[in-house]
Amino acid sequence: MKDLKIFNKDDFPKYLPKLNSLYDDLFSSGKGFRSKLIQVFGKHLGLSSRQEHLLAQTIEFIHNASLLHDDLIDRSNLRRSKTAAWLKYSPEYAVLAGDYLLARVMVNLSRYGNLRLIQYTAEIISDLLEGEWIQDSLVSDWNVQLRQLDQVHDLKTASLFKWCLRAPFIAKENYDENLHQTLEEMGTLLGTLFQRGDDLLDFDIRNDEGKALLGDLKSGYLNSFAAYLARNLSADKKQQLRGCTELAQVKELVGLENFNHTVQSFDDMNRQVISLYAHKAKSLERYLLASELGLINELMGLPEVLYFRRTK
Amino acid sequence: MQYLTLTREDPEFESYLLGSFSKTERALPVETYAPQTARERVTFRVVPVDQVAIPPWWKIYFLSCRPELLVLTLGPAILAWLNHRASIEQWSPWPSWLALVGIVFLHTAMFLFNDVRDHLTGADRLNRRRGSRVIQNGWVPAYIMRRWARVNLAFAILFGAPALFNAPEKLALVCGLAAAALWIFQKNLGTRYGLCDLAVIGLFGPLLTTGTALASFGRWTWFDVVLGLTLGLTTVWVFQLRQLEEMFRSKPSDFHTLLGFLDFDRARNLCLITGFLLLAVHPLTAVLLRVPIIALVFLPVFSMPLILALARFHKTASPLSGTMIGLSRRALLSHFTLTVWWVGAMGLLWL
Repeated sequence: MKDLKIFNKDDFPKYLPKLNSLYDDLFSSGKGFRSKLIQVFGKHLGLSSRQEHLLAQTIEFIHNASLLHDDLIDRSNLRRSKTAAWLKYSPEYAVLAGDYLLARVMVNLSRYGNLRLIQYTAEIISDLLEGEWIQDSLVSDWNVQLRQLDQVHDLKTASLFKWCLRAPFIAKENYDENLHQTLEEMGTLLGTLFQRGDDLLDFDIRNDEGKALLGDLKSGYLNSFAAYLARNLSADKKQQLRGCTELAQVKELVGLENFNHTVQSFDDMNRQVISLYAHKAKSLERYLLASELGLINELMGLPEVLYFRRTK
Repeated sequence: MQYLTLTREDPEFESYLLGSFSKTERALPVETYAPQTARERVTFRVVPVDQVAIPPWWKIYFLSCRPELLVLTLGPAILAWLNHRASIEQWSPWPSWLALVGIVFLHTAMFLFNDVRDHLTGADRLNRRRGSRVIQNGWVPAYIMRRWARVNLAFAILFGAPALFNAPEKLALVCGLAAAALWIFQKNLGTRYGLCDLAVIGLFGPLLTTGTALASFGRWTWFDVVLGLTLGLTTVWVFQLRQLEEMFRSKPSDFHTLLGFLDFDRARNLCLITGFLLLAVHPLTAVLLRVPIIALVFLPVFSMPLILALARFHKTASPLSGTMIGLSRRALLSHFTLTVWWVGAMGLLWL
């Protein structure tokens, strides 16, 4: 799959100090998973390169805007192993650069002129912000449960996956309600799986990308796996969990055997989510054209990539 | 694992929700989208009945009766009876006992109907803590539960009817008002203006206490109404905290509740105000009913669950906070301990 150029300096005003170098840092090291997903859709739905580029750019702009804001909210020092934008430039620039990306999304989409696409994108952005807002209200909440976090992640993480699945069809002006409903549901499941898989990295499970450990816990946030791990802990042990700065401390606190067993049962629970996702992906047969059916196979493989972090 | 996704447009949709589609299989709802809309879609896990671990029927029936909520209905009835200790010579034992059994059947019928309604509307499919979970676990299909509810309602009428002869006109009026309140509650009428909450106060408060007094002694007093209002307000607090717990979850389907019309901070404040009001109303009512001082001394101890519940959520910053979990259970415990205190205090009055 060819690499799409998402960020182009010429698209942004040169008279704004530091803006282009900030974006250069931001866009140069991302995996671009979401834009690759758009390309997969582009291939099977026969999107034009202009449409493909617009959609890929849109989702990456929204995603990266959320990262700029997220890092500031969480006071994260690093983003993709580099100094976070708010720290390297300034918090004000980080906020404005994020806002500017969202504004550009709307400018680009309005130029394209598909009103439904503009409306849907605006809805997704507002879902994303609601998720951020709610998540921020949960910092230092050590009693939060997995089911509650799933609802936050449905807004914050899954909304972008939903967009990736639905927007290509909207761009193709295919508005079949049942198709979009199924894709919406698949997006929810993918978002859940991605987030849960990502949260496992914090505990060094399948952490091949070398993500910093216990980042969420250190920021005062119980992520989905931590909430699952803590569900049977006493108030006293939960209190101790707050203070853990090393993974070894967590394992000692809950017991190594219990820790491994919890990982296994967390995986088993998510395998059920994957089977539900597969059921939905298969049901797409009813709504797709013969030329588009190849998409189903590609979509079937996504949970493995997102949750188990298996690279294709 | 066999999944099946159906939409409202599918002809089998209702039969899968009701569970009447097959005698040998059960459809367990796994996911629901857009409930209460024409676009509603439910994904079921279809499993053979013999693969569902079904407890014995009496256990299912016991769970469906919602025994933990009996305090809401039996508490006011017992207290109304104790409130008429001075007229014990006018007590009609048989109609009174039968009416008490009738109240238990009515309680069961109400919550069975409620479970079926929540299942069909999707409220309990969105909130996995809600209701008895008997239908969702696949133990009993919804259509069978509806039959159980009808049978319980018939028993409630049968057992309650003899008491009507104690004060036919007044009891008919109380029953008429109760039916109107139940209708408002079931249809979610006027929730924005708190009409539904007023209906709850009436049903679990003055209508229950005056009804019991009339059924047992053929007379009522204003003290029954005051006692009923206090207990009704305590019950509405249980309902309010349940709504607060579900505030975020209910959002997508726009379930109408008074709290749902407020923003989270205001809804939380309303619950706090009601809670603090209860702390004041119970002792005031107790003074009005002239309960002994010794009983009043113990009131703060029995109010502890209420105080602890208030302390737990007064600083809650989020509708998804962990402190929101189990709030309605705490409110129910508060109701229970306060009712126990009232029974003790009224018992002391008798002595």
